[in-house]
Amino acid sequence: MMKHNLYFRLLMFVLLPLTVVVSSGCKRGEDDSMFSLKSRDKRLLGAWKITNITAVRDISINDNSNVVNTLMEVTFDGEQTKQDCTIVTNNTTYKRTYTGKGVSYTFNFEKFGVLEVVATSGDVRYSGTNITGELQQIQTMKKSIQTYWGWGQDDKDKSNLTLGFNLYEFGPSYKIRQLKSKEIILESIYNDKDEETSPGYTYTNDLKSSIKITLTSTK
Amino acid sequence: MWKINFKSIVLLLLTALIVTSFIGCKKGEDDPWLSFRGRKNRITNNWKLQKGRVLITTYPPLGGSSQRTINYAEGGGYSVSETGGFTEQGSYEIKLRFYQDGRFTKEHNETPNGSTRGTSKEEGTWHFSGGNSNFEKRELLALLKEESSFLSQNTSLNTSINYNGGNLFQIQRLAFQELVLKAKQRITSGGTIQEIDEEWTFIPQ
Repeated sequence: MMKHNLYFRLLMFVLLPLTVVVSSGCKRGEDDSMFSLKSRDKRLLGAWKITNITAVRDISINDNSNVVNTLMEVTFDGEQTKQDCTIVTNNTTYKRTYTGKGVSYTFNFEKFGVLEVVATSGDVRYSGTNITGELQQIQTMKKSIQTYWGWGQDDKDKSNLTLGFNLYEFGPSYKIRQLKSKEIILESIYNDKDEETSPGYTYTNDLKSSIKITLTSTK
Repeated sequence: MWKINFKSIVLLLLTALIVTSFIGCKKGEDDPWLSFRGRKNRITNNWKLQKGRVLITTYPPLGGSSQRTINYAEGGGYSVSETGGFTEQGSYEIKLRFYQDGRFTKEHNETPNGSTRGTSKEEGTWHFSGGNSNFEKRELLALLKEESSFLSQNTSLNTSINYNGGNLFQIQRLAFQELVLKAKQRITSGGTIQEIDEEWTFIPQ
């Protein structure tokens, strides 16, 4: 009996630190928990709903020398959205604030490398410079995309995520700040400049965007 | 006697190790079995499109379906055909260049017969991706565009051959002399489903 007890204690003495060392190896994102018993793949797979977005988008459009600069600060808490826009065109500054039910997004990371993203419409009210009262805008965006997803390059830590799509404000590549079974936090800085030119006509669209997204599990 | 046996064992182990590590390099379904170059070395090159095909199938909400096929043939000719009867033929040149530092450039020229369209250019960053339960590590290729330009020789812009492709491609084959990329996407918008199925074969320029 004494001998068995000694073996058990020895086993615990070896196993416990080993478990902690192995598990703490799973902490890859800055805000990850110290250890997790599930692999990063298992934690990511399944259905998620976006419950928080904070984003800043700076868009400059030059349509044949007609320049419009728009700075947008967006927050979304899973139900309500608020967008503060500053629009500068022809040396005049306009302010607009949008509030209301924002577009809701669900992500589904499937086992076979397929990602399904569904965006469902909402409606917002907006007010601001040169607007009398409050106006309503229905956001009729409803779209789903099935595409690939994968971890980043040489990403032994699996701390970066690449998505096969650019849907609305979302960029294609993310740093994973936190990956828990119930919550993921992703961050991205995304810049894209497009230019079209034909004789007598030039159009450029210059986007600089940063976004932080929180996804909550609906599994 | 013991020495000979020991050497044989070491040789056997080394051979097994080398063969195993090379087989480990095969990520794409049609990759070569053995390659003395790493995947990054193999892809870092100036490539040109040898042949390609894009099939876009659209399913409207009220039923039925229509197809749009863009076929890039060997020899530099392309053809577009649509279910409604629209056709277009012409010549193409598509170049793709991957740099060691993770940058890429893409140049896309199409000249319809009896007309001109223009030159599309893209640049951005590339990286291998994958490593999930369906794709091997480095079996996917991410092309993340940061800048694009389209220069048209016409007074009206005509980008009708373009379509919205994705950022991730499955590497079907990555050899020193050939790169084969595939991608599939399914987009549902307003009750309409669109499936995009593409395959591209590149050879060194």
